[in-house]
Amino acid sequence: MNARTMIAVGLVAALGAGCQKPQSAPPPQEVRAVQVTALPAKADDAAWAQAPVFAGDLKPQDMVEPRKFTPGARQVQVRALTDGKSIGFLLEWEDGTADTARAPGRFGDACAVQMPETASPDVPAPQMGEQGKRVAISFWSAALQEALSRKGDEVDALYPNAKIDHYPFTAAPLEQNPAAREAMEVMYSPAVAAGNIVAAPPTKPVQDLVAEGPGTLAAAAESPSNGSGQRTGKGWKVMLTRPLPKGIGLGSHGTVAFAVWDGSKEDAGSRKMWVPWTKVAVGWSAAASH
Amino acid sequence: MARVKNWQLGREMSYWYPEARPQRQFAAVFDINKCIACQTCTLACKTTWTSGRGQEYMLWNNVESKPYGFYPLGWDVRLLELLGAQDWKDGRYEGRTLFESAAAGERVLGWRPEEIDYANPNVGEDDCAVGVAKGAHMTLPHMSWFFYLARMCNHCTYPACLASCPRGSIYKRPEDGIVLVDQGRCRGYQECVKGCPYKKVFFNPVTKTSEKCIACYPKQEQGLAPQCFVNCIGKIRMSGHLSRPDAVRADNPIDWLVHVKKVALPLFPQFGLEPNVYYIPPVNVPLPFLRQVFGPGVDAAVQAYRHAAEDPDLSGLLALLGSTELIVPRFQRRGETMVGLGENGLELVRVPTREQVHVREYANASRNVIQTNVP
Ligand code: SF4
Ligand code: SF4
Repeated sequence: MNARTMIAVGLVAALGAGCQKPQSAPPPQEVRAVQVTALPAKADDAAWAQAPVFAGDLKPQDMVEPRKFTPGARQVQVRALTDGKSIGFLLEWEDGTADTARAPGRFGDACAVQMPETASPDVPAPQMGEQGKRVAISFWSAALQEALSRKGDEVDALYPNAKIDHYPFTAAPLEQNPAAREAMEVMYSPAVAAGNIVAAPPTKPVQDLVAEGPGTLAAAAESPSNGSGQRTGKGWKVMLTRPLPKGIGLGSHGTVAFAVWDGSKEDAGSRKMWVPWTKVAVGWSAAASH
Repeated sequence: MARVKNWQLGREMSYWYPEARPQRQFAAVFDINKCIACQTCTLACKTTWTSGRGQEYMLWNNVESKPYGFYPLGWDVRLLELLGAQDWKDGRYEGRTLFESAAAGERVLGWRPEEIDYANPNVGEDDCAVGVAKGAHMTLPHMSWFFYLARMCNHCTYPACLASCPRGSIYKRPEDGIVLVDQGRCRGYQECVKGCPYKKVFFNPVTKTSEKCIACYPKQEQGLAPQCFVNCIGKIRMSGHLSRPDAVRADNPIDWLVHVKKVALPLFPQFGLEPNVYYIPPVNVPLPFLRQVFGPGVDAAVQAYRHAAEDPDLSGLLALLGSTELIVPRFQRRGETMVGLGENGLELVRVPTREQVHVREYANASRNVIQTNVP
């Protein structure tokens, strides 16, 4: 039997099977970003439904110390859309508790999407990239989102029964001088004074970060990412949008990795569940692939 | 893990990074016998550094009654339980340190307090060990005991906070060994809070970064002692710099008390961090308890302290504690006077090696009153 005959036999067999029982398409092994004219602004936008679901197997981060020991959600369901300039991901995973506060011994839920900063056949190491091969990360945090929706002081929100006698910057003589008061308050918030993005009052629930290997995570020069999350009956549904990496456009393939953190399991930093590099088809269309 | 020398253990040990000792190491001596738990040090620190939002619960310096006082709750006993019983043999530590006990995938053996553990600083305040039987106060010696343990960050030679941080956000200054959290780099993972056995790193829920004692480095850079030293009512504290045991300078007060006289000892040396706050142990406390807290050198240290009056260098240095705001890098005894000197040999301060004692008559005949004597 030559090769051609083999294909013919295979086709007949497949068609025969199809006649007997309609089969659903196997789940895609890649993320398929469907082209749209504009990316949705919310996680519950109906537009997400047109993208096929990629089921990412989450595994505990066990490459760098400290590792993750208490496994969290085992799967993250990902849908993706693109307008040719930006790409949006919708991540859904199970998490029984909404952990939206970060306090001593309390950790927040979060998720992240990672892509190489620049497209290259030689992809960076999946765990936070590597030196000279930078990855760009869009990080959504439930605590950031909660902080945005909250009015007033964080200490009051965390500890409603707390009574605080006095802060030096609330002294009466400073009441008439808001600039002096603010300057003094910053003196007692060294992370704010140092320009740390984790300490700055958030303007959105997402941070843009870059890394060139484990432990090198840093704020990106610009912050084009956006996103928002909401609770589902079982866990979180979070959308994240970011510009496509340099060198990636409609019709090409990129690479993406995902991570989720479960606050109730004291996840933070390298203690996370993650999906290593996965292919993403940018501008995928169901018609074109058949 | 690298192999490093820890002189407090008398052996090499494993540490996350190779040995890199600073040019000078900030160090301190606290004479526990003189602490009155007035908490002036605690407040001196609080008002200087931690009056901001999110710092309300933080006490970078605290003073707790031992054995039942804690901040945070159970900080020492919980870790001792995790570490398990370990042994010293002839001054050498035969047990495992916190780095050597770390589970696979962890950097340090540690635990992280919950918010409630910070809620009652020094919950066992002034509770003494051993019940006080009826009439016990009439007899000597008293078998009931407690003591005050003033605590701050130890600016360890092998900091567990630094080793715990996967981002390298904590660093040890090469010029003076002061351990700092880089407030621009920290992302608030709280690994250091878990890793520090002394629980001297605190998560700030407002800035979302971890914060800790900075040893008042802006003062030290001007040759001045930190706030908790200068304000100490009991004059129990002296700050300075400690040399390596193979480069001891016998005219450096800290070197002399730690390396020469060996009267000041590290707190829980078995943890393996080579902490740099050295304590003159409380002489009223049973030795088995003290050995667990300060290591095997405690018997000799207690003896030396009990005989301080016979050693004018020791009594002179003890009198020098808390006598000036200046850091005193050198000393020289001149007869019955202890002189604190600068690096250049210029005199900074002088104190008598023995405090003058004047005993007043109980009955003042000239005024016809009975008077109380106050030392
Ligand atoms: S005492 Fe704790 S916080 Fe201070 S240097 Fe040592 S490990 Fe770090
Ligand atoms: S100020 Fe001095 S005497 Fe008072 S509690 Fe602090 S260490 Fe003890």
